[in-house]
Amino acid sequence: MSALSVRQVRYAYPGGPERLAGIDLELPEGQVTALLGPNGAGKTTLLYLLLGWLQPASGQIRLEQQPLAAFSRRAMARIMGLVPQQERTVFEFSVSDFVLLGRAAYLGLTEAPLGSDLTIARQALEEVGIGHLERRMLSTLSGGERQLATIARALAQQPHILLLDEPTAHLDLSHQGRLLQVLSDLAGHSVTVLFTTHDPNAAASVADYLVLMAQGQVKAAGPLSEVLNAELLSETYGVGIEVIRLAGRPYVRRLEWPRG
Amino acid sequence: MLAVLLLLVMFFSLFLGRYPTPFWLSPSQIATDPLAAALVWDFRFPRILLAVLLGAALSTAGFAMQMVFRNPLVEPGFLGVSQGAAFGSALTIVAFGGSLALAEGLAALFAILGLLLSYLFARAIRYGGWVLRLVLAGIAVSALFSAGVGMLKFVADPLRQLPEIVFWLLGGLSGARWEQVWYVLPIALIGLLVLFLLRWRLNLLSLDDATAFSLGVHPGRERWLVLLAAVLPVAALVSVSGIVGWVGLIVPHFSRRLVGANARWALPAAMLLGAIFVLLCDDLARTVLAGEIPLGILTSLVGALLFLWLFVRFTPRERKAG
Repeated sequence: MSALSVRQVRYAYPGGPERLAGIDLELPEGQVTALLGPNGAGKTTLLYLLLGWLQPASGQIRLEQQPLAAFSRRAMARIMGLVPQQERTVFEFSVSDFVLLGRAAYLGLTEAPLGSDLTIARQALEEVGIGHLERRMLSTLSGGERQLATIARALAQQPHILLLDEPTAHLDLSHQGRLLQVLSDLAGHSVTVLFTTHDPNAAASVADYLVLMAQGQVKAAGPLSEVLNAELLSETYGVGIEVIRLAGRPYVRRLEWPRG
Repeated sequence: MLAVLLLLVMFFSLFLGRYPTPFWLSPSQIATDPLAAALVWDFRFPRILLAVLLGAALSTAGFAMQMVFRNPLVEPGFLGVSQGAAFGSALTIVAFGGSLALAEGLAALFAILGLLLSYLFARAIRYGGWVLRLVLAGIAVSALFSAGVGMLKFVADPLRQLPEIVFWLLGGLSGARWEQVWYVLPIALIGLLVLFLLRWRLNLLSLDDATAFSLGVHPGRERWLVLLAAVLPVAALVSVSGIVGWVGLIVPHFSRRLVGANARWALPAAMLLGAIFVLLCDDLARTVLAGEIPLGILTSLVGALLFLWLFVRFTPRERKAG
């Protein structure tokens, strides 16, 4: 079963060149899928198309077998959550107030969160392992903790699908590991996870399924073991690459400095 | 807490004034002197109500604008709203003889136009980040409307219309009567009530648009609803009071400092603090000197000093918008 399916989707930013040139994609349910590709491959654009924030120029995106347009904003936010890249907030919220924003899809225009929403927000914080930070101000958190708080906000939406844009970028090694562990745990709780990354090893360490993108096209898609091979990666990144096994998982290593 | 404080300040304001002796009118005098009783009921009471509404409208609108524009440095006076309303009211005085209803209508029209122009120019300006662009566009649009008011002054009848425009522009509630309260009360209450009810969602609108969208919000639609609810009360009150600056900028900063940034608590706090602030300024304006000090001058003086103190003494709590 696929949670999201993409058929022949094309997209160009207004007045710009084509960013996505006929994308086909199936997102397997309850698995971690990594959307891997070099900078500028069109990963973020695809993510925002899946979210419904951008409209494809042609082609169709179906969410749980129905076209995106069939869902109201609120209904969609209960199914799909987003963790944007490097989110900045202008005003200084506490961590719990920030996570409670994830409850908006369950509240009317004039409603504010109730005690039951706070319980769900706290569970979300516990789930990503930062329950103890609830009362802290968002701006006092480290980059990694902040990213986890943003994931908690998306989890407070109680989504079936979680989309993350470069969740491990700008994180140190230990926070990267912790974040990827959280993603893997979520899939264990039957959440479908899709994250973009330009780092093959972030994909290699947790993804079940890999979509390799370059220049607005899907180069390859399938189970990690099939797609993560030296030949495809070398071609996509334009540099010699080998894939070795390390502690039972594939590991990607660059063999030379980039050509040209 | 703040609500009780506001009621107390309102109550004591009734006894403050320059009749029959400066500063204090005792309750026993009101009971025995019919002139004093009439003064309190016909002049001070409506004036106090207008001051409270003005303060609440300006600071709540400033708070809402800061959140939906993701910019802690905007207020109605910086976004062409107050100047637009001033232009509409001055136009009524010069062209249509100053009817209250018409002044309110035209003030609202030009206030919305001012906001719209500021927003559109901010999107088109090719210099600086969003915070700066919005401030720049607002300054330019405000200046355009100020120039328009200047033109109206130039063509106004120097004996009848010009003094009316000038006094009104200085900002003040000295002309406050019950009639004006009835004119502005409905629209002010509706606008403030809408903002009060939507207050938690302001938090969502302060996020990046795509992020708010992902949380189930229609950012464009809800933003315009909030702005309309913010602009209409301000326009109505400006048509009565003239331009009263700095309240909408400074009060939200103090309310966030007091109760935190969550609009669920900070918006009501801003509403009450704004009402208290303008009422106290107006009390000073009508009590300290034998002649009236224009309210707009006082709020700008106190507001600008508080602003400088706040930003020199503390680092602003808000991060810069990216």
